[in-house]
Amino acid sequence: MKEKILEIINLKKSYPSGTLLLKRTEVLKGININVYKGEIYSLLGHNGAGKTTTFKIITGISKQDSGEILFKGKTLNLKDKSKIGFLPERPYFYEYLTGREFLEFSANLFNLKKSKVQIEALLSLVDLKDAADVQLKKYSKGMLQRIGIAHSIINDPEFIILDEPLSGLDPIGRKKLRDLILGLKEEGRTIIYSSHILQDAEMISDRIGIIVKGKTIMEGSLEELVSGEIKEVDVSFYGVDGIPKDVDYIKVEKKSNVFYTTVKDTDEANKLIAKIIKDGGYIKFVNPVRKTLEELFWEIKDENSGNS
Amino acid sequence: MKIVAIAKNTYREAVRSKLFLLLTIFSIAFILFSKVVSLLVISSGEKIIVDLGLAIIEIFTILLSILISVNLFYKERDKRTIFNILSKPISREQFILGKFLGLSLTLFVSLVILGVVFSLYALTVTGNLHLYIFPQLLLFFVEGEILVSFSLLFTSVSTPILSSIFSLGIFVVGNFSSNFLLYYEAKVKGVVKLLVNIVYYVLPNFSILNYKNQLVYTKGIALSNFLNATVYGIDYALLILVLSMIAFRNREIL
Repeated sequence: MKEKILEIINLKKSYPSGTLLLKRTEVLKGININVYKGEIYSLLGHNGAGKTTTFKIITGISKQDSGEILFKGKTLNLKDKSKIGFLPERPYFYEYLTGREFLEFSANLFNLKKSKVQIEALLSLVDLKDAADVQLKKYSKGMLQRIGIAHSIINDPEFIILDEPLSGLDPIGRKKLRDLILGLKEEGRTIIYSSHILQDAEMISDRIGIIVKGKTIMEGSLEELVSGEIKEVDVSFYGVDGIPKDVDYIKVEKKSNVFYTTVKDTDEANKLIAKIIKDGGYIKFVNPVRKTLEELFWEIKDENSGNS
Repeated sequence: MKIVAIAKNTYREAVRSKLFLLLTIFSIAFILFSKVVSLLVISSGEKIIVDLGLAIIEIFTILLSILISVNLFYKERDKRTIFNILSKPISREQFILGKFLGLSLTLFVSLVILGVVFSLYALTVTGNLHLYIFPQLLLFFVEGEILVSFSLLFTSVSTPILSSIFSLGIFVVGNFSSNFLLYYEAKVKGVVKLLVNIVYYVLPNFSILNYKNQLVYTKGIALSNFLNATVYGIDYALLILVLSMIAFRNREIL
């Protein structure tokens, strides 16, 4: 059984609001997260769902009203933070420092004395060796994200928290960051990252948690969450005049005597295939279309949009 | 090492700020301008230069202590660079202490620079280095420490504008607290007298840190007075620093 690195149990958080700050606005209404060793866990949710607040509580920037956070089975404390790396949303760094100075400063905050070689190695890993002596205020968004990743692993952490690491990046920047994150996983680190870009989560995540309005709605691997459900089936065939009349199809197209059709489920697909073969036709391909993460996400969001 | 790292970073940020540069340039300019003022006044030119020089350095100390402290601390929260520090295994108390030490270093270095500038200028104008002002500069440093502590306390719980106003208010009130006590103590009795005494002892007494008016004549500060004032000031500053750590401990950082 895989070791659980992080377990969050019914985390709740509210902030004072209203006139004279007498009211309280609930932002987390019950967050439950389980992250296992060596995996990439994506925490997905709409803007304002509570992803950043959850990370701020894990890293100690904020305090929860109630709920538990367990790190390797024990309540998370100040000392455990030496094993955790964190990249905040929208890199918040000291602009007047160079990349190298920033990494040295970050190492000192962990009481670590990193040699020049170690700092150079980190800068090479994130492809910023040439910009090491340039002030952070001159860095592009992508460069800031990369120096942020370097800073989040300066203490050689077992567990890394990345808050929206891919947002605001162009496709090349996103690919570089995704490759970096996969590289960190290959080194045996556990990563939790938040995003509202679902395609990135589909590409690299082992497990996913979906939160809506401060509550965990669903959690599991991509296979558990979406792959079981076949939404529709694409079937391509030739050698017959057309689609049989009693087959319920969604769409059909003909190109150079080959038919491309989409039917609503596997039963209709089986019915269509049987009829094509009976009529002397040939099947070119059958492709079940599974529900995407995006479709699942919208379904969950719509179901919960009426809930407070 | 963590606290030293925060202190070093705070110092670096402070001395690179435009506010620091402006304050330093204007202070040096006014010190150099004191010669012109001394020509307009019917009094010993040397006395005016020393008086004015000390007054300018004191104003610089107050402004630097309050404005830089408030500005830097607020910037950390506003730009969220504080997230990089608090997400590390560093307590909020260590963060405040690091900030305090960094600001103290900034203040100390600034006072040394201004003191040297003043002495060299005085040497060219009066033929004297007037080194007797340096103990007063140290007391200005202690005064600044108290104001830095108050600025950190107020910025932990309030907005930058209010923090600056409150800190400046503390300085003003602290300079008049002994006069306040002298005036009211004889006129009131019972509970009111007790309250007057409480207010006097709770508020900082900046007048015991200030010998600039008599310095021109006495050309020095008695060692016992200097030590008493320093110990009082440092103790007071540390007490307020502890209060600011307590205030910041549970402060929500949005």
